[in-house]
Amino acid sequence: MSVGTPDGPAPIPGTAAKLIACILPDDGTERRLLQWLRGRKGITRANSVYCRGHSALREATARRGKLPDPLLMRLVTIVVEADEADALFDLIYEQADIHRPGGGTLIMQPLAFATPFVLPAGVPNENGGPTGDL
Amino acid sequence: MNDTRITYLTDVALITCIVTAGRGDAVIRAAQAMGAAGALVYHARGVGPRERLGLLGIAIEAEKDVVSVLVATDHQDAVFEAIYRAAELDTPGAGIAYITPIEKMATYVPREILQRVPGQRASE
Repeated sequence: MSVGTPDGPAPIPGTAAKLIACILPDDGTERRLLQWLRGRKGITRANSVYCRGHSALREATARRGKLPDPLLMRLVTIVVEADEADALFDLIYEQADIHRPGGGTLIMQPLAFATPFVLPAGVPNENGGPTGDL
Repeated sequence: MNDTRITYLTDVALITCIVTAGRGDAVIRAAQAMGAAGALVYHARGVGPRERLGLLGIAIEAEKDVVSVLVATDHQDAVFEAIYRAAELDTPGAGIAYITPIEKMATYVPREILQRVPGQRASE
């Protein structure tokens, strides 16, 4: 990003990257995916938030003028190196079972720049944390 | 029925609209009326205009609905305009909306839908 000088601050580390976003049903897939990303792929730049999902392609009843009750969904966002993104996209498609009815959606967006997320060395995983075993 | 082949969808855009909490439903209704298949909503806390408006800032809720809608790029302008009007984004403090290009998208596409696409062959 910025170029450091001998007297100035250190340059900001990072590269162009891709943002992979997974919209997943709230059935535990998201937790398994995060464990797999951390344990098997070493990816730490992944986050998950709860969302309300409104689908027009789902049978639902609603009161007049109101939207049907939403489904609880999970939005997982993953920042990955640009050159690894295509391969990871395909792997996530399999790993998160996107290929089933109601399995969710996977999208990829370009990012102009992303900083790395380096974890402190020597800090053990929390109990029940990701091991890579699914 | 599962189908492990990936069908990459391109020419997709993501419309994001940030409005006062509770106004998200109007945005979703407008988007779905224009053909959007679905929407995703989550809560966020907004900062900025409240401070600038001083005491009047109490009129603007800090809690926001962030509405995300995936649409075909062919329809993005029409859906975006519908969202803009529904959310009354021409009103100061009402919110913002933006369009993000999507490089590619993948989801479950039923085989009978794929068979209608020219160049796709059904495999048994």
